[in-house]
Amino acid sequence: MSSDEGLDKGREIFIEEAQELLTELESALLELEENPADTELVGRVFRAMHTIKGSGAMFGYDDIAKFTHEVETTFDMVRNGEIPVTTNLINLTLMARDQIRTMIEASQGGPQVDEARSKEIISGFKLVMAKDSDEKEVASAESVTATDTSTTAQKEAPIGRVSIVTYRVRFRPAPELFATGTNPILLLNELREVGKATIVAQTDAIPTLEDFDPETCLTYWDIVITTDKGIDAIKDVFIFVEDLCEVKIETIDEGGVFDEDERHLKLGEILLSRGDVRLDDLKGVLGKQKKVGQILVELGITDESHVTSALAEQKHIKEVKEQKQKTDAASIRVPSEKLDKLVDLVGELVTVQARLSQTVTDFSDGVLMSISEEVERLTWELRDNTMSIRMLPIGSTFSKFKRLLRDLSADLGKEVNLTTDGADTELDKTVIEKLNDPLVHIIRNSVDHGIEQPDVRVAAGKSRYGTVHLTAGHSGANVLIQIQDDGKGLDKDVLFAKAVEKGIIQPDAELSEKEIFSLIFAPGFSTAQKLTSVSGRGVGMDVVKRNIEALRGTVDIKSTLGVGTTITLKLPLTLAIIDGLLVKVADDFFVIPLSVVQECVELTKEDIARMHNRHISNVRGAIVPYIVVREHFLVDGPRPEVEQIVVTEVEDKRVGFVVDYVIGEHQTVIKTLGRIYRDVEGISGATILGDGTVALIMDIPKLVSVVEKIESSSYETALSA
Amino acid sequence: MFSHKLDKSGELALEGDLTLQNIKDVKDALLNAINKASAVTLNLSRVADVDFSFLQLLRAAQKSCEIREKTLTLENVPKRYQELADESGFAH
Repeated sequence: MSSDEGLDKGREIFIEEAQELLTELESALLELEENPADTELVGRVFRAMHTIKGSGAMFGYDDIAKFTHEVETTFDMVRNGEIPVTTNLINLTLMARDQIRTMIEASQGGPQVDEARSKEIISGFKLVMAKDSDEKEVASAESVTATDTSTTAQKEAPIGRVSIVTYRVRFRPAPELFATGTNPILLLNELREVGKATIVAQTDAIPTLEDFDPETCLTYWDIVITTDKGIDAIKDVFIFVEDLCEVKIETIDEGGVFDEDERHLKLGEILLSRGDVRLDDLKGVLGKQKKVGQILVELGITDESHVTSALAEQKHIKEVKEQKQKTDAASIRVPSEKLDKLVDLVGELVTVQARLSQTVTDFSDGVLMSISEEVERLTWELRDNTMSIRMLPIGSTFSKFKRLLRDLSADLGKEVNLTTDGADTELDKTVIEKLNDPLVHIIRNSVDHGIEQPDVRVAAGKSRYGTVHLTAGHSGANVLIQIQDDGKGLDKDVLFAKAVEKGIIQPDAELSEKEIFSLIFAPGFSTAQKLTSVSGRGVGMDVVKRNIEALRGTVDIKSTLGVGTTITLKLPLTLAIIDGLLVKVADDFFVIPLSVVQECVELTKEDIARMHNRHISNVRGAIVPYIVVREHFLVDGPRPEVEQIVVTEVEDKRVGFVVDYVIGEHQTVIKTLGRIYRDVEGISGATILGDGTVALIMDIPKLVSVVEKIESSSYETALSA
Repeated sequence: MFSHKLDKSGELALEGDLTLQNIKDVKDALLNAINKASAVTLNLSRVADVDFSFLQLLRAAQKSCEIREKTLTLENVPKRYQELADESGFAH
């Protein structure tokens, strides 16, 4: 498989689908490890493998199809109760899952696949299968060996044919079937494994009791079966009784796709096509008022059991069709670029709508005004709907962490459980994607630095199993994500000493508990005594903080020594559009995210004088420091007599921002700034206003920290002077 | 193992395994009951096992009763019998 630039649509869909299936596979395997007897989970693993194999072959990923086939075969045996679910099997399958992912990545230009590893994994599976066969002491050459696996492969539906087909089967065993020791019920049950089957027994060949030899099998069966495994899978069921029965298989629906116009076959047509009635007889009764089946039975043309069987077929097909329609209607796959484009367009529309509203206000025309209001209402509705399409439950990300924790625990010799809450909390897909790395790092830190070794925990009177609890939930326009561990907690003295040693703070610095905990987010800070395979990957908590702030989120940390640590991430629901407060300084517009705004108060020249020009104000008795936006961004022009302070709250700190005017709430479509402005601190983006002018979006946490830094360095300079 | 007992009211109590190994004996007992009583009640409360051959036998017995205008009723049907009827497509 080459890493072509132009992967066709089918391949793109396959890759997208396979990624989802691999995620599903991983979470099913981890659940299976906890509940090895859950057949539903075994089924989930099997189906994921089966689909990857089928679609893989269809789009030319023969290596993936071949590799996956072995795993699928093993899980087929698990499904049949021939192999138990063991930790070894779970480990092997997780390895196989990672290998499939590598294969997919390789096809997209990623690193080459380690063929030796593939072989090693396959050998592992073969060993599991062979071992099982040995244990069961299956006679002769029937045991599952490498050769036999290929036999199984031949029995399977040809790779790539995954369409759903409905077959009608008439299975008529020879009367002497019982004498060979064959139980027809087992054959029927085997058939049910192949697909959704409706089975009706026909007993018209059974005579009265006097004439009946009860050691003969005179029943025959009408079966309607819908399957994606192909006709061979059905034939295989009867392979050992071929000489003792008549099996007639007809295809009655291909592809599982029923045209909208296509009606269900009428009862008479089914009976006719089965050969249970003749056309002349059918014509003779059509047009009568009674139901066809009833008339045919009354006239003795056919018997009730054949009509019952035909009705069962009718019902089966109807159910398959309904199921298909239900699945079709449930969801639709759309490439994410198309969604991004839609969000962009909605953003443009929001901007144009703002212009329209502003222009209409100038005209003071009642009719125009009402049209504009209607457009505004529709735009907001469209905006909300579009945003909701991009919302995904965070649960898929959570399940990845289960795997992470499993591997970490094994690497570090610790025993850690991951519990989650709020997996169905939805947030923007871009936020979810960008959240992955910071979360991985925090969890890794919790396990590596937080959770103690089992014996240490026991000695401290704790359970030997540590717990990392992950929760997600909505809080207004934000999502709160908490990572809570019951480890040893943060030691303030150790943190302080380390920060002094690293030159991050002065030995005489007076810091609150919160500030000391925040030191772990300082660049270059690490308390790890030694590098492990888990830590020491060159990424610190400072990167986590930076990534979260890039998402316009905040990080908060709480810890109790010996009890545990809780890290709380507060994130906006979406990155595309925010509610902002539009403010003006001279001729420049700025937007402050509404989520951090607490209130607006006036600032007069007298107020400034009263505080001796010290950039602090008294807001109803509370002292609030403020930043003068005009000074910070070097905006020219005189300050008005009465200014406005927009009071914000970031990380429990209240800080005011002094502006000339507060214009009001503004739906802000965020536009990223060009590369040239990338390093401008305190501005997170821009937006276009109704009249076409640009407003800069203020990054409040960043501005606060920048000003704090400036203040503290000027303070030190003043001291040393 | 199979045994049976027919009382005067036409109740045939079947006991043990109603399986292929005994099916001929079961047939004889059933035929005897149908010949003697106009309404036969099969009491299955003491049945240990049942297989597909019994389902067929019962269908044959029903046909005989229909022809002779007699009734055949099942009593104390074991769970296994119901499962078997479902599995074999007799329940339709």
